[in-house]
Amino acid sequence: MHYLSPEFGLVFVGFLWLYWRLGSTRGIHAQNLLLLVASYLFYCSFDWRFAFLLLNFSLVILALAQAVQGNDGVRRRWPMVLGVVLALANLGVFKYYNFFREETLALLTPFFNGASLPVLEFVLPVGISFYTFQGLAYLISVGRGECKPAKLLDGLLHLSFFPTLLAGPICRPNELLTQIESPEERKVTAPEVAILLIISALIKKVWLSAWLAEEWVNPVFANPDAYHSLELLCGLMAYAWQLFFDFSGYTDVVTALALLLGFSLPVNFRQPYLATSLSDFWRRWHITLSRWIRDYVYISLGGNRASWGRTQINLLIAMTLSGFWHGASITFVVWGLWHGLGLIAQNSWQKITSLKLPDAITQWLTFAFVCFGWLLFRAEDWDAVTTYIAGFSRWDTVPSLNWMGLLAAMVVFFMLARRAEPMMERSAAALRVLPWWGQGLALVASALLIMELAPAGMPGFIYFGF
Amino acid sequence: MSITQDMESQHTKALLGITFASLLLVAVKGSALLQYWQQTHHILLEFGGLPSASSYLPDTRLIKEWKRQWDNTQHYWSGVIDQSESRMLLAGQLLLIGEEALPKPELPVVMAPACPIAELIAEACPDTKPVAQTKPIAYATPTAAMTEAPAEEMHGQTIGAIDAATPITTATDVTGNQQEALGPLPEPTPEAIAAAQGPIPLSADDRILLVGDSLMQGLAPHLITSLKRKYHVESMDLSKHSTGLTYPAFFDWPATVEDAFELENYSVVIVFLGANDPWDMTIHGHYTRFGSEQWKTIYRERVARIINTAATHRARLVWLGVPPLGREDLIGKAPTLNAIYAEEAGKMPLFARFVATDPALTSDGTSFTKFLELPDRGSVMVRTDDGVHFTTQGHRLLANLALTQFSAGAAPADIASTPNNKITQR
Repeated sequence: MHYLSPEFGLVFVGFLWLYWRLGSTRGIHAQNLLLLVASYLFYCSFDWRFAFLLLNFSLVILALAQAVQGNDGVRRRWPMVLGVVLALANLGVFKYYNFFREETLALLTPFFNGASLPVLEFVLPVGISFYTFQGLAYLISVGRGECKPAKLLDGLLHLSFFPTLLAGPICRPNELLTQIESPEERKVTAPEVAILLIISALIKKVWLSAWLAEEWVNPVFANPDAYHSLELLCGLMAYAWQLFFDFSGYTDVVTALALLLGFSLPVNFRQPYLATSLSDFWRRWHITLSRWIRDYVYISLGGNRASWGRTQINLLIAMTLSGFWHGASITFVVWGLWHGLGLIAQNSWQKITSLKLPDAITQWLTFAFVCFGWLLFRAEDWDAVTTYIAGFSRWDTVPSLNWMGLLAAMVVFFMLARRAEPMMERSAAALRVLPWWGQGLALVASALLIMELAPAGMPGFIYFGF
Repeated sequence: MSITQDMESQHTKALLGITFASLLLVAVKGSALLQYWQQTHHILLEFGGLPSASSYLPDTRLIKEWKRQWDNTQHYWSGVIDQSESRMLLAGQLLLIGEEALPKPELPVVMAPACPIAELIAEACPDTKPVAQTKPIAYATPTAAMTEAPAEEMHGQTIGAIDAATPITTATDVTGNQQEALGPLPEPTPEAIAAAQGPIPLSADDRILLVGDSLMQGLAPHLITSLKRKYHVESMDLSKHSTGLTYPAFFDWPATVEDAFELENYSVVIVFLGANDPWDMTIHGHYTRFGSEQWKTIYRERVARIINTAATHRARLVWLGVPPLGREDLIGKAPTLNAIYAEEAGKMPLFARFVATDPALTSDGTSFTKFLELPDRGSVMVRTDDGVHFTTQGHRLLANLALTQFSAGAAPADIASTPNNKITQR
């Protein structure tokens, strides 16, 4: 079930009544139990085998976390190491087996004629990359002594909490788990924020992202040969914004769902295209993944504690792994490398010169760099990348798409991004004073307007594929 | 957006607001919701349908007048916006590429004359009434389909009225006007059939129309690029996900294809759909089971309508069969659809051909195959995890299969160049 689909919406509304009713009669433990059951049922609606895998993964991680604390009160290291190995192997089998199989075969063929590895038909369980990382964060935190091992039911809920199950945000234990364990009565303190986030998600996902995809991204990427250089450039910018609207729209809706259940989730996006440098971009884009990579890969490799050169190598490794996390394909790996090399170039520039360019220029440079990265991100294979790039030399055809309109839309998007935060705050303040039916009406009016403006259909979220 | 700890929980307010909003949305968008459910989950809720938004308005003259004025205002402003948009774009194009951007002083293509190709067959066209008026409503978008009356009923009634026993002839009720006007379709003599069975010749001024669902959406980019590289032909991709021939109220392919031919004279149509089709139909609120005789008759008629549209315009049509589907609820359903496509294509041998995709995409020729053994690459994954769609590799195989149907040539088709039928020559 899709978070913005009518069936999910209706079931969720019914569920909310039950959840809060249970909260007032039976207390927080009953609420947690209900959430756990609902989360597993939700996951079963995709495939019951997924739920089984998740349960298996969670039980192993939780048991290992328990094993960290020895009887003598000394923390043991092996459960953490074992857990990391097992979790990565699990992810590797489901996500990367066929990638490695083809690559290994290609390597083996010159040496062994007729080399073969079995073909295994795995279905990629949706959300596996996200819950694996959340589980690892928990286990490592316990291993480092930053938090205590969770009780069974709390731990299971932490790894299956349905708003964050499919595509994050990847929560640290001190964010989600602490809220699950807290004995205090759960509260919805700002219903207007939840309603506003739902409206924002509808605008971003159902309208803007779908519109950009339909009018620009899909046609241009499907057949780049047919378009003028300028259209290809517009298509690339459109894709950058589509991706942002898609994923941040998703984050908005799951944040709203969590708020309505009395939870608050970490921030995942902070207007990434306003970043003035690449490192700034990674502090604004998919924040929960960036900090995971920083905490558990970059810092584990030594971070910036050794020489300048070593720091750059660590950066490159961390970014390449981040690329590989997104998908088992060479284009994702190159995308990670592209960002790693960009960060190194940026650091080298800062080392060589103290010259500081105006923000307006660095912002555009960063956006352009990120956009070219998205070309790798979107491309199915290497051919698609070279075809697209070759198209940038085509200046003789007559553009067939409304590129003036798209450029105007880009200007509007950048202007709105600058004002997004105060706008959200003012809208929330305006909604807050309305009675419940006023808030409901505001939601209905926005939803109807968006449905009117949006292209039809219910396209899936891009990040569910990772 | 700060959260204060000591505040009372406002979940009751949130619950009331959200519930109120959901109920109101269901009330206003009820019919669209039912359409969506039918299309996505193949469930028809049997309580007579929910009202649409407009049914809440009382039917008084004042309200009608308001509605009319509102429509006029909307129409006026969308015209103003369109005009300024196109002027702005033209200015931009002039700056970008100079005079070439100026529109050529030709008549616009978008015209609805008495017959689409009236100038060539004026004497054969007795009635000057625009064809477009006699055909069912064509929905530009599924949204339009949701908000307007479904074409299903209208069309179903037409069939019933003429003759339900011979679907192939009744199916042409819409295109029939045009067909009569163009003169009869050429006789399928054995020589002509033999000539039509070879590869379809393509030349640079041919136009190809791509029709289909998400299967075609994935295939189209590969086809378009290959066709362009190999034959320098341009293609028009109309494919749309979640569509098919089972729910015309959601998206009406036969009407869409007819419309496409009114805008441009395509010489080849490639159709690839069916994955959304193996479900029960609902005719006037009643279930018609998938695979039943009635179901097949109705489905056959829709297939025939697309083939006839192509034939009427002397375009060649390649119907790609649905490969075996691996999703649990779809397993074993493709052959029923393929039999209909093949039979209907067989009735128009001069124009249509059915191309089975099973041999190229399965290891044994009949059952769903996810990994295929390729001579040069070993075992490769050709189908995605959902059991329906294709991987890039699968798309390449399909595109190659489709490309074998064509060859480079001066004339679009032999049959089209007989004196009687030179209308597709542009």
